[in-house]
Amino acid sequence: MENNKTTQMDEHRSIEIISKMIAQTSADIDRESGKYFLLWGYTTVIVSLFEFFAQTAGLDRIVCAWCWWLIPLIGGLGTLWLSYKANNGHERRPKSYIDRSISAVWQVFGLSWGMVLIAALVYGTNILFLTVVMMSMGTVITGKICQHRVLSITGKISMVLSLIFPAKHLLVREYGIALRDSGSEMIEYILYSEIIIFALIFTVMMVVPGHILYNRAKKLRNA
Amino acid sequence: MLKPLDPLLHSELRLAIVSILLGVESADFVYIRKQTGATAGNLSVQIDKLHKAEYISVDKGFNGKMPRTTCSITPKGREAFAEYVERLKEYISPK
Repeated sequence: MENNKTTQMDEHRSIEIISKMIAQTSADIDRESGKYFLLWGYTTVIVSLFEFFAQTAGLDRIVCAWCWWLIPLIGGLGTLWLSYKANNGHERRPKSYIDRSISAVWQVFGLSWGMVLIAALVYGTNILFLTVVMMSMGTVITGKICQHRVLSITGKISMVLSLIFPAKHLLVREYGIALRDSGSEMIEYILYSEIIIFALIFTVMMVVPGHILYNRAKKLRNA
Repeated sequence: MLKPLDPLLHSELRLAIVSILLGVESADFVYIRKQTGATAGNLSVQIDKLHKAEYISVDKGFNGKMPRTTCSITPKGREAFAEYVERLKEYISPK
């Protein structure tokens, strides 16, 4: 794009340049958001599946409980690495107002989730339901800020899917004892299956939209 | 009669720079160079022209030992761009 072409530039070329530059810059911002969703989505899904197999295999409960900490540990370190790369690499990506808003939203949700986690450790309660609800809220807000329908939709779907946890609790409370008394081994799987549900919801909430955002941005960037 | 387009913005490279900066808080020199495909020398000259016209602000600093130039659009630049687009509309569909 050399300056000597300026005198011959017509209005259509101007529009073309404006559209192309705005689209490319916005694609770069989208691609970056996609990376964070993929990082947290895959980390949660993989650690959850590991938890499921560890618990059904009869691994020590305390060890299993500590394994959940791998999610914030890997996700947190990955986030730091991604943001370091974005801000300190040779080609530092542009800073946008949207980035700042999204970052603020997730900082608040991350901090709140940390408080919930500490409280859950003290009270010994299960926080899978609360985690899904909180992260769905963050996903919907991110979708609204970036005007990405896919994030808003998957966030809302996950919010609805979170109701599976109380529904399952109700079912186990009503019929679980009867199943256990009948000697069914299925009860163990039913009890642990909420981890699989948790992993599936995170796949819908973060992995799928993460891939969509990343690929869409990549396609737009190469267009 | 159609009003003339702002000559400072009616240039491929300068228009591209302003278009990039429009949607972001700030952008790095290297990033703008990659997006526009311009040479470093030419880009420096055009950034300087936009800076002198107060359409963009330029912040020169260091990242470790590496020099770093960051650009961002000013309110005056944003206004000039809006005006440019308005006039462009008149060129495309004159009343």
